Amino acid sequence: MDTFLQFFGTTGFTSMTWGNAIMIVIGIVFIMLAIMKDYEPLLLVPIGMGAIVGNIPTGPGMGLSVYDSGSVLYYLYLGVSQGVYPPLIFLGIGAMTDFSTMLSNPKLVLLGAAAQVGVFLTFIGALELGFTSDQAGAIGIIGGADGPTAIFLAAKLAPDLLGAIAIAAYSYMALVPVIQPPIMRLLTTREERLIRMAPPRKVSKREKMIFPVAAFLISTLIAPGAAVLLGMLFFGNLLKESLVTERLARTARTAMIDVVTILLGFSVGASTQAEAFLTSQSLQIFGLGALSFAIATAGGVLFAKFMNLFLKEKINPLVGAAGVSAVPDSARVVQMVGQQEDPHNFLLMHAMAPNVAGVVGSAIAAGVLWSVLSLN
Amino acid sequence: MNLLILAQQSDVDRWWALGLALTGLLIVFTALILISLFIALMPRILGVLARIWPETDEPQVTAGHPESQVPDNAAVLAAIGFVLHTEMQKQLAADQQTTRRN
Repeated sequence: MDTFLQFFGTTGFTSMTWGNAIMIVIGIVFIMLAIMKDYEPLLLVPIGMGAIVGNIPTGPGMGLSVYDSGSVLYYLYLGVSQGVYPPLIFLGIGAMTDFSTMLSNPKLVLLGAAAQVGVFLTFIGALELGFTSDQAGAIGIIGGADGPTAIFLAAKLAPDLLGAIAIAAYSYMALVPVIQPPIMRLLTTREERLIRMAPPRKVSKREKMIFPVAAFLISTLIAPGAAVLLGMLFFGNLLKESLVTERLARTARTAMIDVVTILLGFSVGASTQAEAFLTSQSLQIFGLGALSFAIATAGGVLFAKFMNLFLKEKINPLVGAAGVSAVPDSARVVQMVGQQEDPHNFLLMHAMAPNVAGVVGSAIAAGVLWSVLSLN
Repeated sequence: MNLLILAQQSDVDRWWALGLALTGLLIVFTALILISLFIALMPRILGVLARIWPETDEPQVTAGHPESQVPDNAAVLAAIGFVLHTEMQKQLAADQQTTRRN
């Protein structure tokens, strides 16, 4: 009987806190959202399951969590805490990204820059709320709508907030179809939403091959802090476009990115232990993240309207919303909102241009924040 | 006195944050404008380059890349299977016609 009681004392039932229970429910909600609503299932299922696993209380001395040195989860989490997984994910993204739409209409690249206004305004907002400059930088990047970039910067600048920032970034990426459309409709007239854009021109193989190397050099000579992320992104793209390394490109965009996504999602989920995650700071981060996303979307749309003042061939301002780099979800949202006004208007290909430019833009923004803030 | 110093410090922080935000946005714009300009100029540069080094329609993977010489077994088998199936269908149709005539 004593042994039984002793064992019962080590079970999860005795040491379960309300916080753990809430986080387990949140994990289950993530899994349900992924299965029932198809919201970013490749991310929400690993994160949700990770949150459940990470919130099972363990007995004293067992040390199974991501924060317990020597545990299996601790080693898996090293890829997050040391910023190893995000560049590997960028390699896979590069190997699956087709920059043709961007190469065929270079002016749309600017929309990817405009959407980064969300990053920098949220940085100011986070400072006003009392976060340190490092923490504010890491929170601001949520507005880049790029999970790997947010994790990379948070690991470098604010490791204590990494769990909350990662969950906020991925949650808002999953909620792109909910957050963006009202802002897009609010900021555009019906006539603007009906604008049709000329089909993109055919891009030569040579352009596609030269672009990754040239774009890497241009962007990282200006912002060297982005060298790791952009290096891997453009390296992946070069593997794809060089036509001589198809086998490597295929591995990068399939098996490798899948393995890293599983490890990253699961270990980020497992890092959301109630004691570390359920804090007022996390709530503030979620609030700032939503604000950041909204500002980024508005920034892209408004900048497209601004560009239209000078352009002969008008841009459909909805396309600006794809400047947030949630690839390809925000481009899909542009297509969806555009087709609600005109079912024969196909904006997806046009929206992919600011979408991939947004990936580059948010990595540059992260590089700038990292370079400047790590000096302080 | 301490409150005054704190207030001044806070103002300095605000200006610093605003400066960093504006500079950061400017850097992002500069980088993407330069990329955009490069993309816009690339067809012209390649046009000049094409006079010296003409672009071919075939993919660059020619002899010398062992990877390109490795046959895709699944695709080859599928093609053989398709041809066999088509030939057998033709044969079957011809046999049926012969039987009907007889």
